[in-house]
Amino acid sequence: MTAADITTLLAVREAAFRQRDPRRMSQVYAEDAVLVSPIFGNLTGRAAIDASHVKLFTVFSEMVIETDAPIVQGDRALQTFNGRATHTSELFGIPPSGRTFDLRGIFGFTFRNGLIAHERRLYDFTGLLLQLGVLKTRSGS
Amino acid sequence: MNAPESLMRLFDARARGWRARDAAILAASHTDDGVIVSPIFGTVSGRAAIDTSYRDLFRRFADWTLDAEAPVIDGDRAGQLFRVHATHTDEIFGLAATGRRFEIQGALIYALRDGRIAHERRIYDFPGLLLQLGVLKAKPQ
Repeated sequence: MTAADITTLLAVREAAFRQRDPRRMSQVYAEDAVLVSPIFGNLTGRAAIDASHVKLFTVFSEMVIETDAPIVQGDRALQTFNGRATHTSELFGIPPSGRTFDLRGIFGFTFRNGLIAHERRLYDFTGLLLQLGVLKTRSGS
Repeated sequence: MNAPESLMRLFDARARGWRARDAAILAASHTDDGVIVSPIFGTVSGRAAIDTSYRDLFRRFADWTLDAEAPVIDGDRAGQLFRVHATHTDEIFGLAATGRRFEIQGALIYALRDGRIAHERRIYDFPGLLLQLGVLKAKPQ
C-alpha cells in the first residue's frame, strides 16, 4: 500500500465512524484483523470487530470524532484523534448515565493487502471511567 | 531539513538516552526552541527546560524504563508507541516517594526540524498513572 492508499482507507474508516455505520467501518479491517482497545480488550477477526463497533455506537450515541492527518510510513500509521460522545446504554454494568465526555488519544495501525491488519487504541481510559462515573474519586486513603 | 539518515541517528540516540536515563542525550535531540507538551510537566519550552524535565523525570522515577516501537516517520512528522514501567522514588504532585510500581502505554508525537525534535506531544492515560501512584484515589461506583 502506498501512503496515499493508507490515507484513503483511513478516510473511509473515519467517514463510516462519523456516520456511525459499523458495517461499513468493519469493511476496512482484514478478516483476521486484531483490535486492541481499552474498552473492548483484544478482539480477533472482522466479525468480533464488527460486533464491537455495533456495541460502541449503542453505548455512546451522538459520538463524534475528529482526526488529525495520519503519520504514515511503510505499512504503519499513527493517527491522533479527539472524540466526544454521550453514554446512552449499559457499560461495565453501569446503566446509561446520559453523561457526555471528551476523549483524546491515538490509533496505531498496521496494514496488509489494502486493509487494517492490526489496530491499537490508546487514550486516557481512566479519565473516561471517571467522566462516566464508573469510577469515582474519593479522599483519604 | 530532515534527511532519513539523520532521523535514524536521532531516534537511535534517543533510544540510547532512554536506556541510559541520560537527560543530556535526550535533551540534545530537541531543537534549542523545542517544546514538549506533557501530562506530567505541562508545556516545557526550550532545550534547557526540557533537559531539566528529563532530570526531574529520572529523579522521580529512578528505574524509568521506556520501550518504544520503531518510529513512524512521515516527512517532518513522526510518532512512536511506547510502554513504560517504573517505580515512584521521589516527590511528585506533593506526594512523597511511595515505592509504587506502575506501567503506562502511550504515544510520542513529534514535529521535526533540522534533524531534531521541534515539538513533542506525549499521549497516555494520565489519570491511570495518578491512580497507580495513589495521587488520585478512586473506587467503583
